[in-house]
Amino acid sequence: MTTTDRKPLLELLKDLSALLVGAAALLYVFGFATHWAYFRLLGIDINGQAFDYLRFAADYVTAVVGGLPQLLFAFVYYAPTLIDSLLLEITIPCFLIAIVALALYVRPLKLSKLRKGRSFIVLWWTLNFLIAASLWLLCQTELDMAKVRDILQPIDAADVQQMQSQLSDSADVGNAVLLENRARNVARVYEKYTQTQKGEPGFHFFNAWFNPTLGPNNSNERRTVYLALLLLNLIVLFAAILQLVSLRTANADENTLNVHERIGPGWSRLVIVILAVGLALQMFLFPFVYATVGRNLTYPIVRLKLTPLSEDSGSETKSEEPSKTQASATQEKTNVTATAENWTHSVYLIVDRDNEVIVFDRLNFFQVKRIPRSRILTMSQVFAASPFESCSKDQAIFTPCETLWISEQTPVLDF
Amino acid sequence: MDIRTNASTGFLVVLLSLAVANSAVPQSQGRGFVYVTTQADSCTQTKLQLQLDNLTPKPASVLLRITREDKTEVANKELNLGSDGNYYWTGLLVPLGKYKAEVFDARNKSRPLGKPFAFNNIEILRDFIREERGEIIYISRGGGEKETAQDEKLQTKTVDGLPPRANGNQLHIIVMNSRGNKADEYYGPPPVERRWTSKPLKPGEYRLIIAEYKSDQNCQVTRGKVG
Repeated sequence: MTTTDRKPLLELLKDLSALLVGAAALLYVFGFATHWAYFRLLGIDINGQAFDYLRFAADYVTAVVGGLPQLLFAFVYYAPTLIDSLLLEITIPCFLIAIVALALYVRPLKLSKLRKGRSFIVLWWTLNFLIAASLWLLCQTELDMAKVRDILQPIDAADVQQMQSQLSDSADVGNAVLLENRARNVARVYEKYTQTQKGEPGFHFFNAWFNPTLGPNNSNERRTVYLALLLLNLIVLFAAILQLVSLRTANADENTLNVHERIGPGWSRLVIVILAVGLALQMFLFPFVYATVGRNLTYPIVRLKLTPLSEDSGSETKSEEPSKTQASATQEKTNVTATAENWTHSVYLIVDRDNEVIVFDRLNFFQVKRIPRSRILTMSQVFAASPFESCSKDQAIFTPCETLWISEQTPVLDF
Repeated sequence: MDIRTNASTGFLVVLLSLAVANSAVPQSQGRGFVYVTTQADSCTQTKLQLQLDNLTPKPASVLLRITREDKTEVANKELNLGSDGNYYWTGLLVPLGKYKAEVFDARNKSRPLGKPFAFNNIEILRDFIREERGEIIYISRGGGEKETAQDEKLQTKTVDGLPPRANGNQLHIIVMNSRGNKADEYYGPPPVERRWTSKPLKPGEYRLIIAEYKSDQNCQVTRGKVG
């Protein structure tokens, strides 16, 4: 190698920095897409910050990289999903892609004798068609999956209004009875959704993955679909990259066929555009897959000790800078309220931010509550569970997890 | 002494009788919680499932009163407890819309067993949208002439070729949009000219359901589209 072939150090550093900036930008985009998809799925409108996006990007990359060894070692676990009705029509072309790509590009198997012949070009075009078809089918399935949204609140407003009306003025009824009734109402909301939303967009996926009254193993279902889709996406991704590389004219020598020259520049450009657009689309759709089926949806179940709403709202109208007297007043208030029985019932902690927490109060008719940090005196984690699974030991009975690990006499109050 | 013994025995018997009588009364002193689910029954009839919580044991029978929004009574019937622990009522609730179900103690008809529960039986139309109703005959119907209403944006829909009036039969015509929301409705004897015109509706394609209730309690549903 001559010195003229070597890149100067400065050029290398420039390339490296460009690569790093590109990677950071891509991560940011992944983080933004995942963040948006996740909160859209939950039905919570939240303004993300750059750090949130980076955290989600890190989660996403970890989930993809962590999924790679599972693709090998847990094949038996997710293999049935590959031949399930949802993915079978994608699995078949992807399986063919793998065979054709192996025949074309893997050295021990490749059709070396045919490389310069007509058969190579026929297989090459076949692979392109298979990739395009798979990308199309993958996009369709993933866009269908993106139709599932607002999974925390699958409610019929009129129905909930009547349920609330039934429970009003029920001071004469014991807390245990009310808790039992609220738990029943949770199940009823899901049943009503199943009954009335049949045929609506996203209904099928909601029932399969997020309806706790129907699927005892929702998280398993989601996990297997995620792994299966990761495998199919990777097959298509690698095959498409191999096809794009094969079109590079610089690679052509006497031992390899110059595909670019053989098929002509017009067709070559068309294939490059189709594959590049398809891959780019997949890259931006897969965060939706991750957010929907790849992310762990187990949340801490917490009880909160809050300042009374009236006192808090009163203090908020005062100056924002806490003075010494205010601090001591707050201390006094804390002491007073700490003795009071103002622990809330169990709720799911969905988001824990610097200025507020977002909790899912399912027992209070599926409310998603934003509570300012200033109102929270103490937060006690009871345990962790998924709102999309039943905590009953009997499969036929649905028990909301948040009703367990608290006394049956715990009052369920709006806060 | 004998008198005392007899008095004590009598007192005990009375106490025992009271205890037995008390145990025979359902422990429904507390108020109940009512929950009503609507389901589509045959033709355009509504089936109500009543769940009654917080009453142990559940009464063997309850009195159901269904009223319209204007408080006119539609149904008043005693329902028996089903094997699944719920109560069921089936009937024609027209016009489709909001109703209120009230449940009373069957023995003391003025004693409510829970608060009234409002429900909307327009939900039963979803089954027609999903085309899951087995008894429906598909025909191509509707369209016909369009009458322009005062507001140019609204158009009436005319349905002709309706079943003839015979033996006290009744027609239930429902016009609904593609989302299953009711656009117009008619219930009554078939028009003499065998033609029905809807109120002015927004332009677009509508689904049409015509249920003919015959005097022998049989009914037949015809489904079509009007554009």
